[in-house]
Amino acid sequence: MQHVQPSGEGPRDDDIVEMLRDGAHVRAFERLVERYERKVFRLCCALLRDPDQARDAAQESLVRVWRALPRYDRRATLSTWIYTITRNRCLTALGQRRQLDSISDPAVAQAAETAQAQQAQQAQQADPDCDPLQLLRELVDALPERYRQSIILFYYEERSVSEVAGMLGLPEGTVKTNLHRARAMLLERVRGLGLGDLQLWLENAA
Amino acid sequence: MNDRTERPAGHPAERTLDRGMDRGMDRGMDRGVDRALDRALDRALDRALAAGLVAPALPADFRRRLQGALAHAERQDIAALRDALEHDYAAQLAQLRGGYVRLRQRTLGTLIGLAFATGLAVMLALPWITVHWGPNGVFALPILGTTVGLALSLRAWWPGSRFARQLPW
Repeated sequence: MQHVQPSGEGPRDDDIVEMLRDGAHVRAFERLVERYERKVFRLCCALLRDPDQARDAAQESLVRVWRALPRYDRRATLSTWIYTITRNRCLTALGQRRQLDSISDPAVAQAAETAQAQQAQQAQQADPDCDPLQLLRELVDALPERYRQSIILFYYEERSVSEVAGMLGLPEGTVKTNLHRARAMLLERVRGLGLGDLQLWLENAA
Repeated sequence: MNDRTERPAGHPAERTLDRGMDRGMDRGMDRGVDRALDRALDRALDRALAAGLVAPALPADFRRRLQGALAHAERQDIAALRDALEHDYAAQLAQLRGGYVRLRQRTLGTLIGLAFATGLAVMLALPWITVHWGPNGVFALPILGTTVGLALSLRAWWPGSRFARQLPW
């Protein structure tokens, strides 16, 4: 691909698939990048937490998409196919990260298991006077992984359950359950902070 | 049997039942208030999360870096493709050479076999040829074979020559 056009009017998946059918792979990929680069980046951010790693993973995912584009057989929808490639790339990155951690320190594996609990505890002990949004984000980060991913993508994707389900490769019902449990856990943890009028605190945070 | 109809008003059991109903109504109202509070809290949490979890912006140099990564991947792909083609070419060349050697061996074997078979056939047919075509009839077959061989050679070596074009095969 030589020239990626700047974002303009959003192309549809059907148009991109039509271009692929006609053999116009370069043009199809340009449209695909316009349509999916932000979503792929957000998915990587949600899965990897680290923006720098997310950027690299998003780029590599799109390179993989470009390489695999001639072999796209339309058995899955275009978005499902792209998100699957992206998730696989992120899983590889997470695996490499774990491997590096375990090479550098054998105790890290055990520490990783307790890290999440500690994070939650730290959030619970956080100063109530600090930025409420920052505190809320810390509480979200301390959620179990599947709840955290669902709730983050839900708000990144403007509250679209179907979009989150597609990105994570989960049924919509599972995403709804994850969201419900994530909210319940968040409320419970915010209550645990002892901030007085919870609703007022949340209103102030918003 | 309905116990309530048989108990006089003010009966302890009646009073207990009324209190129970009152408590039930209170609980129902409490539940309604709780639900309303929960809904309000949910909405407040939703707004707070929407404000707190803002989608990260795509890095400014994302496209430029992506183009670089694609160009690099293409170079890698081209190098990999060249290696694969060279490998295929070498394998095909080796196969062709092997086939060519086998063909030459087969051709040579066939020619030698045919020459001996022809000699044998002429030897066996010699009495019959002498009887029917006379004593010089034995030369007819070699002359015919030589003519056909020369014609074939001519067609093989000079396919564009006028004589070769006139041949029926």
